[in-house]
Amino acid sequence: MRRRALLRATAFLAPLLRPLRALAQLRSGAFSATSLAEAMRALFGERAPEASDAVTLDVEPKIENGAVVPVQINATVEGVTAINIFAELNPNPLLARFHLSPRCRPIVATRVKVGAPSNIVIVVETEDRLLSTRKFVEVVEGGCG
Amino acid sequence: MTGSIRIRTTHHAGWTSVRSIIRHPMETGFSVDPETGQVIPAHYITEVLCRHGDDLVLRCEWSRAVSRNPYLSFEFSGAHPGDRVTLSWTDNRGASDSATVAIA
Repeated sequence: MRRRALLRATAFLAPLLRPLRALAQLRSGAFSATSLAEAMRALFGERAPEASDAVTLDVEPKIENGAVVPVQINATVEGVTAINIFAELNPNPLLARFHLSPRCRPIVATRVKVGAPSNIVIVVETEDRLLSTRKFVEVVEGGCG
Repeated sequence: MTGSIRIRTTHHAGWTSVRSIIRHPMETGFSVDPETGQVIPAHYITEVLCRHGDDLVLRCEWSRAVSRNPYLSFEFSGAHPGDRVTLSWTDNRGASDSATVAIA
């Protein structure tokens, strides 16, 4: 009896969970995406980020060693939920994704690998907007080898 | 991987600033060992969590393209000097480490 009830519950729940699972797979696929467009589609669907002065990216314009590229991202908007860092020409362009609680200030800094001279693209997510900025970095020695 | 995390905190005007370095190879899986000619398998941190007490303040999802010995800095509000901040990471092989410090 209990087994049957469990089966019935599972059968009932499965279709409800499917879209969630699909979304989770889509999101995790963002890290294995091999182009910027594909990574963005995995994260944001058909929504296109809008270029915004509210997002700043601090990064040196010319990098000797692409294995260690310091980046700092700063947003001057309220309610930032996530910050994404992409390198346009890396084998997998999505480098890192930061999920901020409401207590977090929208400032993060880290160091990333950039394989070739290309744009570093930042997308900041709020409840209802996608704000973006980008900077081209010259890389003398690529950092993905 | 015990002892892989170094954390420095400062507290100013209601904001707690956290700066951290994690000792980790962050291997991409693309590089070749010059001694053996073999590809070095991918080995990198996939998730970093920062908690203030039980409250999750920041969750990071990382790729293999975060630099070796990753650096992370961020700020959050609502904590006080002496409160505990915990940083923990997990890598693609399921290894993990965690460290807790009192806010300076």
